[in-house]
This record gives sequence, C-alpha cells and structure tokens, in this order.
Amino acid sequence: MKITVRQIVIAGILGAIAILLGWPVLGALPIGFIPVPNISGHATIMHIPAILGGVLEGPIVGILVGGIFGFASFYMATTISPNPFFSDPLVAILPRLFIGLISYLVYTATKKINNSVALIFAGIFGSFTNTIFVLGMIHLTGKGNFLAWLIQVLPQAIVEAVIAAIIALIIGKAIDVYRGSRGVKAK
Amino acid sequence: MELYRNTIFGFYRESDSLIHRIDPRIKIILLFIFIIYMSFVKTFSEIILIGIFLFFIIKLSDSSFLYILKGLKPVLPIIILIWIFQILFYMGEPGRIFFQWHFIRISSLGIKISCLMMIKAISIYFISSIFFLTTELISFTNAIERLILPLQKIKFPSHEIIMVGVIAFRFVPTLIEELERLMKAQIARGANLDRGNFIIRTIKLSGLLIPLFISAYERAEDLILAMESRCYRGGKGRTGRISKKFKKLDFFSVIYVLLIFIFIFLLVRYFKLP
Repeated sequence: MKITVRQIVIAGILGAIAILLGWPVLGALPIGFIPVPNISGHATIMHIPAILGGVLEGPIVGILVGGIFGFASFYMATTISPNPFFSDPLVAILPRLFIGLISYLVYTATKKINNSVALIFAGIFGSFTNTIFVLGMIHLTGKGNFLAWLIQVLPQAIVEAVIAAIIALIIGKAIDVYRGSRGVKAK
Repeated sequence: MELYRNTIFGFYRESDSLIHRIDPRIKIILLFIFIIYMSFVKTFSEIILIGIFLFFIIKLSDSSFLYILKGLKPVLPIIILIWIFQILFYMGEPGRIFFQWHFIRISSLGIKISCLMMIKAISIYFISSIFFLTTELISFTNAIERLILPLQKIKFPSHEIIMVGVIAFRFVPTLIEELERLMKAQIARGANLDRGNFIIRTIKLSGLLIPLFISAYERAEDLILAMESRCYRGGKGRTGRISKKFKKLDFFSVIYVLLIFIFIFLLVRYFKLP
C-alpha cells in the first residue's frame, strides 16, 4: 500500500480540524458540540472531517482522519473530559476507521445521480456508521446492551445525521469551488 | 473569546514510580491485554480480583485513587442514567422478575449484569487514566511509532501513518488561532453563534467552518508543495532519534501481569466462583 504526500498532508490537517472541534475549552462547550436534549447533552460534529476526507480525497484519507478522530476521542475521554465508555480504544478508535470508508462508498455509489445528493447521503451514512459501529463495539466489549443504548442516543444520532448532511453538503461544495479556482484535480 | 489561552492540555504527572519507569511500548501492550481481558469478564469475583490488582497498580504508580475518581464526578448522572436504562431494557434471561410492563422489566439478572457492565467500563477508565498519568503524550507517540515500524517489512505504511498524526497535532494550535480570528470576525459582523435550534446553529456554524476548511486546505497545499519540492519520500532507511532498549523491569512486568491474569482466570473457572 502506497500513501502519497498529498494524502498524508490532507489527512493530517483534516485530523487537526477533528481534534480542534472537540477539544475542551474552559467554561464553554467545544465548538463542535451542539446542545441536544439527550443523555450526553450534545451532538458532535467531530466526525465530519472524517466523512469529508473520505468523500473528497478517497478511502485512505477517510480512514486516517477517522483514526485521528478516534485517538483524540480516546485521549480526551480518559484524561480531560472523562467518559468511561470511550476510555477503551476498542470502542473509541476501531469503529471510527469505518466512517470515512463507508462515506466514500456511499458517495461513489450515488455520485451518478447528483453530486449534492451524493454529499448528503455520504453525510447521513457516515454519521450513522459512527453511531451504530460505536454502539456495536460497546455491545461486543460487554459494556451494555445495543438496544438499550440505541434508545438513549437515538435523538442525538438523528440530529447528528441531519447536521452531518448539511455540513457535508455545504463544505463539499465550498471545497469543490476552491479546488476549481486553484485548478486542483478532484479525485 | 480567548480560546487558545483557555484550552486545556496535558494530564501527565511527573514522578519516578515503578509504573513510570516501565517502557511505554510495554505499557501499551499491557493496556491492551487488560482491556481485551476485561471484555470477557462475566463474574463478580473476577471483577473483585481485578479490582485488587488495579488497587496495587494505583499504589505503584504513585497516583491517588480519589484523584482519578474525582474526574468522573461530572459524568456521574449520565452513568447512573445509562445504568438504569440498561436494567430496564435488559433482553437476556431474566432470573427473578420484580416488575414488568410490556417489554420494560426489572429482573434480578438484569440488575446484576448491568452493574457488571458499569463496573467494567469504570475499571477500563481507571486503567487508561493510569496509563496517561504515567506516560507523556510524546513518549506515547514515540512508543506507537516504534511498535508499528517493524510492520513496514510487510508493506504496511507505518511511517506515513505516524506522519499523519504528527501533522495533525502540529496543526491544532495554528488552527485554534485561525478559528479564534474567524469567530471574532463573525461576532464583529453581528453573528450570534449560540442561539436558535440545531439547524439554525448548524447553518450559522458553517460561517465558521467554510473559511476554516478553506484555510486548512490552503495550508495543506502549501505544505504539499514544500514537501514535494524537497523530495519527501517517507522514512526509508531512517533511524529513530531515541532508541531505547528493553530493561529487566519491562520483562518482569509483562511476566507478572500475564501470571496475574492467568491466575485470576484459572481461579475463577476452576472453583466456579459466582
């Protein structure tokens, strides 16, 4: 497997955005958290760089950004904003690798219909991949029952999917325009 | 809007305890062994034995039990709520049923297994916390690098993956500064970022995210140009800056931990403890 310089750098910088969106700021919610009446109190947009990485730069970048996001989530859950369920790398990192991959697959499958529709679908599916795979891993590592968890996080999952669809569409389009102006070829 | 100044970094506590001195590579492997073992724990006696083991680890690592426990205080209501939901929607064999309404029921086995699940999650939180209390982020990343570098022989892009992580953490402060500037600019134009329902907030947020992504892309293009013009070709033939060798302590710690786990495993299975 060969990774080009371009893939390394773009994955790194999108990973930096994912970390930045969830990093705790004293006395305030991180920028990437949007309040939702739910068990955790907020929906996150931290997974969106992974979705965009998969959609805009291909599956490898998507997987790498997902990995960085997963690591950041694992580190934060164990240290600065504790959450016992994400302090397990099997729950925090492993499922996140699939976000970019599945968004990429959905995007390439629906691209023929319309670019905007494909971006929306990629956002929705990427977001649900995050929810379902994390809950599945929580179930597999014996930290809870899948259904009981799903009932609790369903409002958050739906809100996250809607937000991911909106942001993936807006930023996907914006970066397409930017690339057009720079003459960078899209993958 | 002083994002950068108010951002929290770091968790490591300086000390010279036994756990601090173990090689981070070994600590990562032991952490994984612990977590995988915990995933298969099914009885209370096993949890108690592991609890005793954890207690000794905390003592040896020179950190305090209460300090780690205090970290859980803000999420305690959430943990309790999750626990209650786990009891109500327990699907397996019920044991004795105390209360039932449609598919919601409270049963003896449900309570037992839900308690087990919560204790498992918390003990994994404890061990991961001890790991980051005794390992600096820098030596952790170095250790990961040295753990996955040998995989290059089977064409696994280890060096490239490490490079992605390095770039990501390098760019966080730069992008925080950028974000702060963008927020100030938007607020000066009258943007009210924390009002409205989630769709309105998302659309408002895109006023920050679009420039953030575009400027990140610009920086990426510059960095790509810089790296390509210097003929970056990955880590072919490079040696590490730090080359630590394993010490006696590292071997003994692996042997001890494995022996303890095998002992707990056999004890519980052989005597069929509850």
